Parts: sequence; structure tokens; C-alpha cells
Amino acid sequence: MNTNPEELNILIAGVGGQGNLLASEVISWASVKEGFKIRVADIFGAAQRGGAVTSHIRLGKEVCNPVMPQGSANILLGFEPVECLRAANFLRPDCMAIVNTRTIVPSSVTLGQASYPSLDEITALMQELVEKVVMLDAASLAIKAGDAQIVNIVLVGALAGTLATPIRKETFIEAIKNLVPKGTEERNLKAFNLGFEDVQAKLDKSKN
Amino acid sequence: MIGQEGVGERVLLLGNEAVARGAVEAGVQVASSYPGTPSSEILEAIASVSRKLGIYAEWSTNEKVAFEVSIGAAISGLRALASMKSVGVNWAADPLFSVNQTGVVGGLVLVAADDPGAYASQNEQDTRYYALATELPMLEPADVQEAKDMTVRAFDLSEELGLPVMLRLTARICHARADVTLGEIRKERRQAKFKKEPTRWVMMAGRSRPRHKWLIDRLSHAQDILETLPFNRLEVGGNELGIIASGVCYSYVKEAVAKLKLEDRVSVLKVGTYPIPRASVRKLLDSVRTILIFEEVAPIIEQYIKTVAFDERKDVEVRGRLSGDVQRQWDLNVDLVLDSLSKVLNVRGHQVSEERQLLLHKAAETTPTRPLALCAGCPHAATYYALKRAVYKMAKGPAIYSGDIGCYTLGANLPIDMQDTNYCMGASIGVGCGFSQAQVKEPVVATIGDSTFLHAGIPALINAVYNKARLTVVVLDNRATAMTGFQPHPGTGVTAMGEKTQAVSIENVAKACGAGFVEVVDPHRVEDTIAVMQKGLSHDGVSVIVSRGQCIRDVLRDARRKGEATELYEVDPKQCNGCKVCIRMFGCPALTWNDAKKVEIDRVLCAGCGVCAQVCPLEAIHPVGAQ
Repeated sequence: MNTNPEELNILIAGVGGQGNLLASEVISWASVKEGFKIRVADIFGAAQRGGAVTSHIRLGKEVCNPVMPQGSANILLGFEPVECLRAANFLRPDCMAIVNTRTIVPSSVTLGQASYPSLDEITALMQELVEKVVMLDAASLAIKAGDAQIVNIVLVGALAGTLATPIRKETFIEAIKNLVPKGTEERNLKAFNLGFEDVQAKLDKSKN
Repeated sequence: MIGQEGVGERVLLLGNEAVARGAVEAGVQVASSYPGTPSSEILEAIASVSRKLGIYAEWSTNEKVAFEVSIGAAISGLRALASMKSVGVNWAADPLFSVNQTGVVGGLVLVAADDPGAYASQNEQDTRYYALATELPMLEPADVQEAKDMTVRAFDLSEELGLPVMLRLTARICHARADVTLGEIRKERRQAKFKKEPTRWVMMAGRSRPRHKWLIDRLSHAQDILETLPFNRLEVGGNELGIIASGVCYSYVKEAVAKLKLEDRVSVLKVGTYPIPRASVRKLLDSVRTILIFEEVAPIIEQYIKTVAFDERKDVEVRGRLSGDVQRQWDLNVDLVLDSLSKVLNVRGHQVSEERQLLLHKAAETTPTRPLALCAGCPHAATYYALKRAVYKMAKGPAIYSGDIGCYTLGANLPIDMQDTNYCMGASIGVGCGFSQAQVKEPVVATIGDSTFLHAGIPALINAVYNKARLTVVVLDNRATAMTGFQPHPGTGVTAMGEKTQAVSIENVAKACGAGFVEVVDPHRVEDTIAVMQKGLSHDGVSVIVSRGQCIRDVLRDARRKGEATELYEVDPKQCNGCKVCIRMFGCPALTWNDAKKVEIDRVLCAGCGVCAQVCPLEAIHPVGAQ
């Protein structure tokens, strides 16, 4: 874990309604709590649902601009497989990509105007695009935590589990307790831990 | 966090929350707004602390009313803030062009949140033109901290000058988050006192002339004050190029200059106020021969610099949006700034290898588009389905659907495809009147949301009745201003501060306007809705159908809070023959097409509305119990 990076760029890519903005807020809140200077851009259109949504999270000593340049994300937190591909321009070749395998099929595909690539195809492309790819089924872990809607916190757990950010696990937990709706803390923490452990196990395995 | 004490403490704030915090620090007593992306969180944040801090906060029926509410408070001596999105200022423009002449007593700040790139709006208009046109001062922050600091200063400035002050944000500031250092909260609460002064407050024929002269004098004084504010800053580096940047573009320039290592070669003037600081501009013009300007979206600074250069007889090259060195329209980003800078200075920018370019191209080719769609379970989708069927039964062909602003505008996308026009709030009924009077052959159907109807639909509906239009108005009433984040409106019976109030009945308003046919339907009862719509469509005059179903997001949120499970639906593959009627005519995002060439329901997305089961001609969709 680099505890005091010059600059760390985290990109969240997902679909409106997946709770990606709350994930962005949790990560940002924890970063400020750790004493970092931070600039974040939540980029979404008018709709509450259904469109592509990204958050640019930039922390470090000199960050001033909330929107990262292309080719500068150190970490991709991908909420949906094709949204990871849509974000390709922003990724550094040495980026670590965390990819939720659960797909959300766009209407263009259902109506037969476009096709959705297979998960194998997406994985192969992601592996070409970046140095490290961690795939996880965050939706199943969320259901295991007791709520299909909290994929976002599973993925925050996955991010923490990479140990690739300078934010400590306990600070993430404090942020979650502070920001999730009252009464849902327990299942959210369970979701966080499931995501954390899943990624830790995968990274351990890839080391051996 | 908006209301917490703690001078000097660093907290994470959204740009809009920083504006709210600034207003709180400045001792705002009245705040008013109409929701609109990217401005909505400002009033939400103020309302969240309103009781605790003794602030009055309201969602007004529209932006014009919101601004008038703030004017009333400010000319009674209170500090007031009205916030709205870019196109909302078009509504507030009418009072804005008078209050500039009357001026104010208490500080009055009008926050205009622009949307360069038009990601969440019908246009990318630049509201800085309003400050120029009304001859009022305007501040424009470059980051979240400055958004807070400028809001505080805007109130002081407004009282120093006796003029309203505009604060211009863009979406990249509104929806940026950053660590912000808090200031002190002003505790003073003033007693409202309106001093009658007809020559000042009553703007009628003859009274404007002296006030316009007064305004111009005040603006000249404003220019002197603005020159001294820290929001304008000349950072002298080198004289190869002078860069001028405003708003978030300044942060793009800072990063681009550092990336290209140009610190010693260029000088940067950060512009944060309008009128633009003339002295700093003169100083920059003295040292460089070329100036490059980054601003969103209109070439306002660019044209101003040309004026100053002419007045000062400076032989400088002014480059920017008009010269083609910066794209003429749309929002900017750091990559575009890097491109412009490297071209103008002839330096090498960031290079992407050919191999990687091919790879990125492949990724882009593999990525399907993701059009915005109405949510699974959205009552609007059910309304559109019933309307489509009713129109087909009546007219044996399509209607002309004049559309409006809200979630239901997404009905423009396939497969619904039922928004033929969209201009601005309330235009569905006004433009629909025009179609009717032009005597188009098709039936004319205006579709408008509940909040939009109350915002701007009523005068147009009265017009339709008065001028004998033949028009069906469908009010898609989901009991919330859903597109912008579920804010309450006059039809919901709840105020911004969470108090219960009289709920305005849309059907009663429609009846009072004189519509000859007014009915309320529940769009989840598909056949009943179709039958009522057929009646409405055959009415010879103005018919109004209020299609009422609570926004599914609110329904699901309530259910989650209560711990209630949602009833799910499933397609029986033995019964489904793959006709795709459900996908092509109704198009819920939870309906997917599987490899076996049958429809399948996504169990995570399904909201259990049950409309698809009524749509399926083979009755192949069944409830499978609560999950």
C-alpha cells in the first residue's frame, strides 16, 4: 500500500441506479478523513436511471482538476462489464481493473440494434487493456449480504481489498457507517466485507 | 455538514453543497428554487438545515416565482438566495430585468447552474449573457472551495452595491466533490422591514429612466470593487503566451500547463468576475503578443479582450473559440485544453502508441450504446403503452405527440418513440395548440408531467380552452419531480421543509381551466386506461387525462424501508412464442431476449408492476410471488 501517493486516480464506471454515486461519496469521504486533498467529478446526465454514469476520484498532493485526463486512471472500479470497455480511454496500461461480472443489458441490445459482447470477450479485451483484471460477481455477494441493491458497497469492499489505495480498511468502514441510510449499516458492512474478502482471496491466489 | 460549526475544519462537499454552505455562512434567511439539473442539491442542502438554523426554504412552482420570492425577502432587508438551472433563468429573466433597476436592500444572490455540453438540458446556453444584458455583477467559481467563498462574498457585495449579484456555476462545479475549509456561520437574523418608496420599487412607464442611470453608475462602482477581489488572479510565468481561463476551465489549464511543463513560458489570468477585471487584462496585454482563452461555452471573455485590445491599441492576437483554436461549442476538458495548448505553442502533447490506439478502437467498437430508458416499473411506460394502443384504435395511425420536460421525455427513445417535439417547460400544450390551430390531420396529444403542468402548463391549458383547440392533454402524474431527484411539488402536499400542506389537485385545476373532459386513470390498469384514453381522444375540444401512478423509485424505496418484498413476474417459456410485443410495444428494461429466442425477465430489475403480464397477447407472463 502506497500510503502517500503523489496522485491516485480512481475511475468508477457503471449504470445509473447501481448506487455508483454513493460509492463515489464513500471513497471520497474516506480520502478526506485520511487527510488527502481530493477532487471528484460525478458525471451523469438528467436521468436517475439507465444511462452510463462515471465518477472520477482524484487524490494526491497537487490535484486541482476534478476530471482526469485520458489514460490516467490507476484503478478502475467497474460496476458493469461493458461500462468498463466504455471507460477504456481513461485507463493507464498499468491500471488495476475490478470488474463486476453482472451485466445490465441496454435497450439497444434488447431491440436488436447492437450486440452485447460475451463475458469472455470482455475479459480478454480488459486483460489486453490493463495490467491486472480482477473479476467478481458483486450481485451475488450483495444478495448474500441480504440486499441485491447494495452492489455498490460490495464493490467499495473490493476496492479496499486490493490494498491499492492509501485508505485504511477502518476508514472505509467509518465512511460507510456515516453515509448509508440509517438502519442499513449492518448489511452494508457485511457487503463491504464480502467484497473485501473476495478480492483478497483472488489476489492471494494470483500471487501463489 | 452544511450546518455544522467548526471554523477551519476540512470537510467533503459537493459543489452545490458548498454554495448552500456559503449561503448559510452568509446568514441567508430565505432560499427558493425550482429543481433542475445541475442545480437541485443547493436548495435540498439548505432545506435540510432550515429548521435548525432559522432559514425559510421553499420549492417554488417555477423559477420566476422562486426568484420573485427571493426579491420580496431581499427588498425587505433579508438575505435571500434563489437557485436554478440555466434554462430556469429564462423564466426568471422577466423579474431579473426589473430588479436590476430597483436594486435590493438585503443581499440577493441568483445562482444559475449552466450545463455546457447539454448533458441534462435542452440546450447549453451560457447565462453569463444575462449578467451582461441586465448590467449586473456576476461571480464564477473555478472550484468547490471558491464556490463557497464566492457565495459568502456575493451577499456582502450585493449589499455594498445595493444590487442583486449572480453566481454562475457549471455542471462540473455543481457535481464536483472536494475538501472544503469551513468558515464561520453568521448568526444575525434580521427582522423584515419594507420601506415604501414608489419611485424605486414601482417600475412602471417613466420610472425606469432614472433607475437605469443609477444601475449604470452602480455597475461602474462594481467594476472597481471586483478588480480587487482575490477571485481574479494574474499568475505571471513567461511571455510566450497569455492564457485566460474562467470557471472549471481554469483547473483544466492548471493541470495542462503542469503536464506540458509550461510554467515558465506562459502567464495565466484567472477570471472569476464579470465585469471582467480590466486592470489585470491590461497588465497581461502589456506582456504578451498572443492570448488564448478557455471558457464555457460562449466566446464572452474572448470578445471582451478584443474590445480592450482595441481600446488600448494593443497589437495582440486573440485566440479561442472564435479563431478555431478551441472548439466552437460544447464543454471542455483537460484533454481538449492540452490539444489546444500543444498546437498553439507547437509542443508535443501526450502520445498514445498506435498499438494502443487500435486496442482502444476495438474496445469502443465492442461497446454497445446505452440509451437512457424509463425504469423497470415506471408508470410512464405503462401510460405510453395505453396511449399508443388507444390512439391506434381511434385513429388507425399515429398521433402527433407534443412533448415536455421530465422523465417522460425519455419516451422519445425507442421502443416508445412518442415524443415528437420538446422545447421547454410547458411547451407540450402550447405547441399542441399550434398543431391544432394549424389543422394537422393527426390527433394532437400533449404529454406533460405533474410538476411541469403546475410549473408552466396551466396558462397554456387555459389558452387551449379559450381558443377552442382540439387537443388531448395527458398528465403523466408520478407524484414527484422525479427526474431531478424526487423533490416535492404543489401537487404532493409536502413542502421543501417537510411540512404538510394543501395538495393542489391537477384534475380540479384542469376542470377550473374549462377543459370539457377530465378523467383520472391508474396506468397499471391497462385496459381501463385504454378505454378512458379512447374517450378523451374522441372528445371534440380539450380533454385532460391525469394518469396517476407513484414513481416506482419511491414505491420501491418505501417497500425497502418497510422491509416489504416485491412481487416478481416470470415468463413461461412454454407459452412465450417470441413475438416480442412486450419488448417492441412496451419496452421495460427488465424484459430481455435470451438465446432460446424467448423473452426473459431480469429478476434484479423487475419492480413487480405487472404491466407486462397485461401486455402479453399470449398471457405468458405470471406473478411468481414476493421475493
